[in-house]
Amino acid sequence: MSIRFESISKSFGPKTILNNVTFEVSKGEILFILGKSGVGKSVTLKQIVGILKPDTGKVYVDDEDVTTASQNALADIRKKCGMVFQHPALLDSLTVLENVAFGLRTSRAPLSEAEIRQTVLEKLALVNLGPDILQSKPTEISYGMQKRVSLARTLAPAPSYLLFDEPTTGLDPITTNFVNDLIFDLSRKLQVTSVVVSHDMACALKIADKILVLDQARILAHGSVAEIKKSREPLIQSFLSEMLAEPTESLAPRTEGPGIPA
Amino acid sequence: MSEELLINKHSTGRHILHILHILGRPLHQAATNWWAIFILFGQTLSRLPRASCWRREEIILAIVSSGVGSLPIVVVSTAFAGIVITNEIAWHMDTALHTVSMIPGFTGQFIIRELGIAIPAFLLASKVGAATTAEIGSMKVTEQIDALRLLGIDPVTYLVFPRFIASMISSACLTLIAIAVTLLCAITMAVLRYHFSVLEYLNALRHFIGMSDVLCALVKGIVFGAIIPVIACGYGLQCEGGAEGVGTATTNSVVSSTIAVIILDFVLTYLFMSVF
Amino acid sequence: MRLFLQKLGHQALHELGDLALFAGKILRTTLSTHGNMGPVLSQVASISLRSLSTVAFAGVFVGAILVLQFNVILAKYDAQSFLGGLNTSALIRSVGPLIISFLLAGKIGAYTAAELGTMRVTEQIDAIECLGTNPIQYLIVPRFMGIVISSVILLALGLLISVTGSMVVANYSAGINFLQFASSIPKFISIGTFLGGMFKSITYGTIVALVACHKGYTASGGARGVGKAVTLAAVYTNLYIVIANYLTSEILSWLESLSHYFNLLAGGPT
Repeated sequence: MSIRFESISKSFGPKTILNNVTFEVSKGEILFILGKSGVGKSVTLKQIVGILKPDTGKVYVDDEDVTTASQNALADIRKKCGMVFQHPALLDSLTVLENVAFGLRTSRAPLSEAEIRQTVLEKLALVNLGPDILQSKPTEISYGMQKRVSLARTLAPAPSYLLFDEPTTGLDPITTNFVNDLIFDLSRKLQVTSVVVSHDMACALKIADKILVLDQARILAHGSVAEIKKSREPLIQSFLSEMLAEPTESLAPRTEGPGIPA
Repeated sequence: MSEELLINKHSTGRHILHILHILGRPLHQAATNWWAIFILFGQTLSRLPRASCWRREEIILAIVSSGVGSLPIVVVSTAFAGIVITNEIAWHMDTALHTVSMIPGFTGQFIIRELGIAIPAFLLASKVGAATTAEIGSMKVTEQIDALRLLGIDPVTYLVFPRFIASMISSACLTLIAIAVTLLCAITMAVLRYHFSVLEYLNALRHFIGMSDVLCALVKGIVFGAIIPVIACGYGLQCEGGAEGVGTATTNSVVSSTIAVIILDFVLTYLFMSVF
Repeated sequence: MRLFLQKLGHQALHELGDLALFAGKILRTTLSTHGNMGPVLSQVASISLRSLSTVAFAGVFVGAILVLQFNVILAKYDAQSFLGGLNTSALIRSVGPLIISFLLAGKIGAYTAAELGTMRVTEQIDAIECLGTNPIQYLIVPRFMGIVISSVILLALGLLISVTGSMVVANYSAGINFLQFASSIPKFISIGTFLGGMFKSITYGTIVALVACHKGYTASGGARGVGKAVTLAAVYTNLYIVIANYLTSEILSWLESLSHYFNLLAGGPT
């Protein structure tokens, strides 16, 4: 049970974003995809759920080919993969309750309103939000809260894969730490496989199992945190040295979660 | 807001207040918008006598983008319009009056007095109006306008005034071109389908149309060209709220420009009728 | 020059192809999902109400302008008695559907393109797709049908207001009283006139809906992208409506001559 990329290539016009990229994500693993801006990290992520299709190559989720899946098969794959976007992407015309419940209303076994409400409250609690914002509209809550609601929305259908597109970009340091801890805890507790796209090297070194570095349309490095730290690639060394110059927190890899801060 | 009003929901007074509040907000918003545009118009006009505001490169750039850029669509639209208006008028003449001799005169007059002016005006209102508001609106929400002010550059002089002058020039030219193209296609249609000769047509035109009509057309063109960019820039400069704000501002700008053109068209038509 | 025309041709085909594919998707989704009229009706209500004031305003003034212009021209032929019929007929047959579509394109088309464009650049449409709902069914179909249905409703209301406004202006400014105005109407108008007007209205409404939804749905590039989507929607809608105006007029006049022909065959009055 895993995600597999086989010989993926993708170009936008004359610009080649990915060139013959192959890698695998194992079950229960937290993989961080790092790289400079515009290098193709989001593109990679979107190909897992079929929002973007590669020019050549295949993407497999649980041994099912995403690139040639039918509409129904694609819908099933998307139910398994929860994606958290760069923007909160909440629907402006719906309340927080309706937003979080959005993914629940399409399930084949329809849930009662009470069950839906229960699930929504549970997921909001997971991201440290209370029932007081249930009837608020997205424009009425802060950006940080919107991002957490968007995470709750993704968690509601209980996916087995979580895909994060720059989850902590634009957040203050406290919420950033909170979101990072949350990603770690969810992956361990819910046994979810997480793929996180980020520029945050510090965060990656802290919570990732494996790190994948993209540069110039190919994979620069793919390995465990220890392997990456020992890498001789100039780009990676410069990423690392940038961080070591101003240490803001401990770089020791996490082994277990401390629980969610109140 | 609405929670407070719902507390005493049984009171009709509260109901009325609630309704007024719902109606009042958009009206208040509209009034604020229009006032700001009025002021912007004044500011733009006040820069007319100032030589330093007349920056030739900016104006020429604006003429190229708004005028020349709109040329293809104006030509295509007026070409089709010329064909359609001839057919329509022919149908009316035939159905009711059972005579087709009036076609050249009627069509020619209608084109020069109204159609040839209205079409480029509407096209400019939507195309140039939308593009200008979108451009200035996104500059506003990405804080570029503030940056300009801090650098000591006045947005009205730098952004609005060149577009104002350029639009008047473009609109006048486009109106004349539009009238010419519409007439050309109308004449072609009349010759091909209704068996008039070009000479007959031109004679009828000479009989019914004078310099005053062409002058009116030009004046209308210039007036429309004057208000459209001011409205567009006005909405752009007041824009706020990210991507959504830009969208709203652009929509409102197109609608307001179109309505303004229609109202001014009526006023000018009435004025010219009384004068000539 | 030749290269320019080639490039233009390519662009045009590309654009029309995209539009046709999009229209196909909308059609397929409408037919395959069980008719849930709720969202459609709410869109129709919202669109009609929002456009009502604009259409009413424009209707009055456009009617007034036509009256003034026609009066001047007809006076030169001493044919002012035909003002009522000519004005009303012109409004129903061509000017009405055209102006209402322009306004619809401006108010609703631009708004829809902006709304959908914003949803697209803030990844809301991707989110909807990932959460298992078909965005075409959820977002596009209600708006599309809403705009098309509203265009007919707005035409009816707009014409009513326009004709009334025309009558008033004719009375006070052209010296043609209401009776004179109304008496010339039957000469120009038949059931076919109304059907023709409605046909044109539905066609233009479809164009507004299709282009607005397409440009909004395919927007990209942040705030700038939304602005671009709205501008493109405005421009292309105008262009297509102008071409459609010509095509529908041709089709209608062809149908009219056909019906004349059948009348002749049946031996009835022409």
